[in-house]
Amino acid sequence: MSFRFLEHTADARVECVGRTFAELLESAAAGLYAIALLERRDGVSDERHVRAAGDSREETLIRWLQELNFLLDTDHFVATVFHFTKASEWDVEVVASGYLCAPEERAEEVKSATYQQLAVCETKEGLIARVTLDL
Amino acid sequence: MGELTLNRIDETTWEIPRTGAMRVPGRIFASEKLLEPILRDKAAEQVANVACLPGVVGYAMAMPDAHWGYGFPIGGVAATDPDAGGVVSPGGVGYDINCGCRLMTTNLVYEDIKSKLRDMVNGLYRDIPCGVGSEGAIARLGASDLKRVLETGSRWAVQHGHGTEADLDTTEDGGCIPGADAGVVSERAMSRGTNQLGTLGSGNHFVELGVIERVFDPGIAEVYGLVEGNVTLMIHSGSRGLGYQICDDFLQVMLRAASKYHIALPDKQLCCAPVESPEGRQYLAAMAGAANYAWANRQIIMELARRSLQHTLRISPRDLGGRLLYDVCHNIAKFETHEVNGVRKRLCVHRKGATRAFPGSRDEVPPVYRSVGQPVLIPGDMGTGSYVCAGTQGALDKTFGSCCHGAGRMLSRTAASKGRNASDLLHELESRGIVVVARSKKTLVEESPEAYKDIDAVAEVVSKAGIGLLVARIRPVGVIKG
Repeated sequence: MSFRFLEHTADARVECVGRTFAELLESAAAGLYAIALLERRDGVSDERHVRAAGDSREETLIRWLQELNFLLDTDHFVATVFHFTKASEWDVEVVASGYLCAPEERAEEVKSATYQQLAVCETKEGLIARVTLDL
Repeated sequence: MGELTLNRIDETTWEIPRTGAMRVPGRIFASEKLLEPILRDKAAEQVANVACLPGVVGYAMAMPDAHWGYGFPIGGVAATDPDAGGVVSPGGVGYDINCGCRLMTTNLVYEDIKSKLRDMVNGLYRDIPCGVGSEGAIARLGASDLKRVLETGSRWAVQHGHGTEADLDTTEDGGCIPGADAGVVSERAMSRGTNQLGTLGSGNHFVELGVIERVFDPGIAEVYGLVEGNVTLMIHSGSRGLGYQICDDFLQVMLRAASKYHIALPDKQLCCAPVESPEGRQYLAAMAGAANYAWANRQIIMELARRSLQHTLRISPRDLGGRLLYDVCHNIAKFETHEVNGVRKRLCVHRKGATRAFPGSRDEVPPVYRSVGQPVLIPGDMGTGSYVCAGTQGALDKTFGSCCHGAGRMLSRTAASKGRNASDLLHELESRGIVVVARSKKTLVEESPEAYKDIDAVAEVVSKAGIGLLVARIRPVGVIKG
């Protein structure tokens, strides 16, 4: 799984890839944390159940990122390992293991994942998505 | 939408003629130089899209500092007529509901305190919670207290010992939009707001000590209490996670509502609902709650700053003379009466990255400013300067009484960071007499002066377009960032 950042004047635009929808979500999460944290550690000391659903894979992707961002903002929770119990493009359920980060580990404040120029497309290798995170 | 046509109306006004699904023309207020980035990042196309919204009247507009945003451009202004099925769009307000700015004047003379400047800045950094993940100076708010904050705004803060009634007199709307309803705010939003009241945030939020460097209009400056050489304090912050979550929540509502009310959207991010629909009313009630939270937030931060400066300088409140000149919001939708084709109408005015700029003839302007117009605050980047302007009849005539909100971002964060490090930037600013303390070195570099448009060029357009009267320029001398 992998991601990279694209140019955007005011916000952060992430391009992420995955062979499957689940992998795409993990890549997108990695992109979110790359913006929000100075560095994401490997720690596993806490757990959260995460659910995201939508009418399309784009909407599900956005809801996924918004859930993770909410947990980061309110609980300071950073997910590092994802165990998908459901991973369709309309409904995702995950047991996310991770850790609680300290304020000094935070980098940017991500307001939300947005629908701005959102695209999830199929490629020969799987899926590619471009998401804008409002900073 | 095909390639845009732009017609030049005058030196600082460009018109996008009404075509296709546009219900009104678009107008961009910019010099030729400032127009270039607006066209390049397609903010102009967004103006044309906004002009398609149901019930939009007059012109869909972009201010001189405009750049690409979510739905509306940042620096976008548009008014809709509720009686004509006009809509309200969260994209026309923004994620950071009532992100705004306030300016406090003081009795301090820069030359007298400059030897203590670093102590003052360090003290502010110590005393004002800033940065991502920071928690507020207010102990974790209970549900009923948070509800009261949403309903009463700045007044809640004053009633809890953060400032005085006089502060409310010079806050836009007295620091409270009526009609806020905590009942339509989700639990998620409330949970995000619980421990963030009294926090600055990060990114482009700041607290800045400045010196009034130049007065352009002595008469208005006297009314505003602006004296050359005196120290000011500016605060830029908003509704924090509470506002962001409300925006998120209602974007989902509005996406469904647009379909329900058969509203054709040129851009999904302009999702909206009629103002008078249940969805529209609920959004406005929740937005008002977030706006009031933001005002309480800035009120608390200002009081923390007053106490910090008093402590560092070992002076009394009277000696500090910290007086709130004005607090303006620049991400909001408000009901205002304006003249449209000779008829006075109650409109829903969206200002996203734009500031109200009313002349003294308006009842909304505090009595103390009725002779000259409301103060309009235009902060620039941390290395250059900010402007205080006065609202004008020209703004009322041309932009529903609106003006720009700042310098507008020009470079991406990646571009701003290229070849730059925080240490060099701090030294460079210090060599220019500006002390900066920042929690995040990464954010500091991303917010470097060259990332923003030229504030002096923006102010020049404001003046030439007649949408603001230049009163004073402020030079930054001390900045804290999250």
